[in-house]
Amino acid sequence: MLILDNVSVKRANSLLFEPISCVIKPGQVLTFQGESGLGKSTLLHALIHEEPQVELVGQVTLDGQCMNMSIRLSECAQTVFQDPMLFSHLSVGANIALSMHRFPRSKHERRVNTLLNQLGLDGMAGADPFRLSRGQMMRVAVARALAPRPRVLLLDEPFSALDRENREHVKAVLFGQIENDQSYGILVTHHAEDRPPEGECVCLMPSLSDV
Amino acid sequence: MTPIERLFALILFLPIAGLIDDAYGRYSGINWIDGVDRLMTEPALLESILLSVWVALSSLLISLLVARAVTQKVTNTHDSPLWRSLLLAMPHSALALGLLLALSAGGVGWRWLAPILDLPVHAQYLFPRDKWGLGAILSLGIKESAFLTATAVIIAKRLPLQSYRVIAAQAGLTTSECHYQLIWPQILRSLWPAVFVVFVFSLTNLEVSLILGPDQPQLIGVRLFQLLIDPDPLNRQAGSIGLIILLLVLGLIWLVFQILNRSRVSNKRRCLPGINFVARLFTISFSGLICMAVVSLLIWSVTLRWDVLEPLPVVSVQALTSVFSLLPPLVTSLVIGFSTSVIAVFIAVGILEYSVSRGHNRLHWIWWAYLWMPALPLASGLLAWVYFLGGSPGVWPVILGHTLIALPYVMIIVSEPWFDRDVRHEMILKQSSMSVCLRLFRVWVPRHSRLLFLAGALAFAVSCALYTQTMLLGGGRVETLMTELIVTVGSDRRSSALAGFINLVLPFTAFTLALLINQSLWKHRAGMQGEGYADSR
Repeated sequence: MLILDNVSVKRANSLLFEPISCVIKPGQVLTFQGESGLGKSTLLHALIHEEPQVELVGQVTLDGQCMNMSIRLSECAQTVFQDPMLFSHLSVGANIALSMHRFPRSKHERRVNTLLNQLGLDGMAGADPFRLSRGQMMRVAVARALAPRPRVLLLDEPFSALDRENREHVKAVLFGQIENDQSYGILVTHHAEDRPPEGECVCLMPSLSDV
Repeated sequence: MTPIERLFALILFLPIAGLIDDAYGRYSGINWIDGVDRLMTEPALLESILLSVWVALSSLLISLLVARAVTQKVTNTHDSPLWRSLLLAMPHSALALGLLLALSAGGVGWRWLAPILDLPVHAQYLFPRDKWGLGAILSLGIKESAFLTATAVIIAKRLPLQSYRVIAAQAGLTTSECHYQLIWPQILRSLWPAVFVVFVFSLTNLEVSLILGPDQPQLIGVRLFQLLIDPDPLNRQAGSIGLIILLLVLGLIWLVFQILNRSRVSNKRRCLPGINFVARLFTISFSGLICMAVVSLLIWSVTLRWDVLEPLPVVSVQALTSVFSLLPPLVTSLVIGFSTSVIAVFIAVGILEYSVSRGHNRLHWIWWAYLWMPALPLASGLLAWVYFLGGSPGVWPVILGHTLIALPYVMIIVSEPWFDRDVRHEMILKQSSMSVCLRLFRVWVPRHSRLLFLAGALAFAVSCALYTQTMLLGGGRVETLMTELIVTVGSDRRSSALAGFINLVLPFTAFTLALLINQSLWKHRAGMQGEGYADSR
């Protein structure tokens, strides 16, 4: 179980949104919705990365282990951002394999090819990422996040750059792996249609109180 | 300040401590008051100081004018950064020598211009009777314009230029008015550390004034250098005291710079009439002078004989035989330059990555302080510490000295893009469980390879141009092209021209190689072409 207990984000001594509490079961995706600027992306960032003047408050527990400042979700999570965030000096395959650093090198090629195949980018492992379309780049970013089969997938509006057809396809691959691996997903989105058919949805509300 | 920056602050302080020790007379046993008396009895000291201030202020103002005009042109057009890099790479001394060979009596320029203007060829118009330091002003103005322009362009690229242009167009301002009223004032606020570097360098420079004068009286840098290398301990003490006074005065000027920079908030943007025309005139003249200087160096390098009344010299391959005598200093220059650039780039990458890991996102002022420190006290103080640590002058102390001078330039060039990384890239790498070392060598170093190659070339160029450090830390025994150039400048025109020409070509070659190697490394990566790495944001 991934448990968020009274979780919020504090910036400049103010809570960005009212604390939330929820439980994510294995194989499920929790969706955060809310107005722009409320701190949805900041929450995802705070779960994995320490940023100056941003503090994660509340308790996060993953499979019975409490997360804190030193043990963040970054150890067992992968993130797909709104932008592809590919590294321009690496090939498509090397960009994907970057997230599989802890796995033996022999497994990289097979996994990369499988993911490229699943995401409709067959045979593009050696391609230059900056010669791809934005939609293709986004799919490479999704492949990079899926490659190491993480326990938690953090999805920060990952479908915004995709057309309708690709969006449905990428959603199927992403949510399919979460369900198959019995891992957890946290999705941040503005669009209700991005939500998986099952799983809880939390609407973030602006905080009215200072801490 | 990180511990590394504290260490470098200490390294910067140590030479000053060595200098104070020398000035106090602990080794010589001479009372420091005697040293002050000796300094005060130096003939025409006040004239030297006034002339140095005149040269420094004039060259600074001219460089600012040119930088202001060129920055407008560069930011409005997508020009190639190569020519700016090449101008930046040009050693001061080679340029000064080129100007000397072009503009002195019997120089290439006068030989060609005199018949057209109906002037006597052999008359001495500028050198050596250059009472106003015009040669030094020209040479420093050209070089420092390149430095200020390069720094201003880096600053300008951080500004939302396109938005400013749209706002200015909507307000009815021309492109030029937009630059001078909206963009340049903002650049100037961030440019002041570089402006101070130019002022200090122009005030205390040695190489340029040794070549171009003025010599009646000489500039303050040359006067103090002569005192410092004098065998008489009283004179050396007077030189050290002079340097300390110079440092104190520079410290005061720095404070004034700071106050002026903070208080410079005004809604009025006055522009002197004709200032743009003057700036353009200087820019065009400087371009012409650079070409003339390079051509002069090349022509004198291969000239066997040139009759004063003949328009063209007698050129012979025989003249190039002196190139063999320059082989040992050439090899030494290459070894010192290459070592300096490799060490400086490695140290810079290490420091910057450490700073990023500690959450820093701006370059500490201590790196600018290295450039504010005149070369003379830094070199003589370092020499004092080489002796203190039981070493002796030689190639290694020279490499150390060159690295200390080149490192701040590398840090300034690399720091901005290094700190300007997207936090999301950091998150992706953190999630990949790669070690900090692996992240550095697999991602950040290749990603900034163009910048690092260029920074290495700049460090090489800086090393090629250093004279004071080579002389003092090498004990006069380390011969580089630069020292050869200064030694032969008054005696053998052909050898000095050849040394100057090779000294000019070396940094150019380094920059061209840096760009070519990087381009060939990433020829299959579209995102790594152009001025820097592309981003998928």
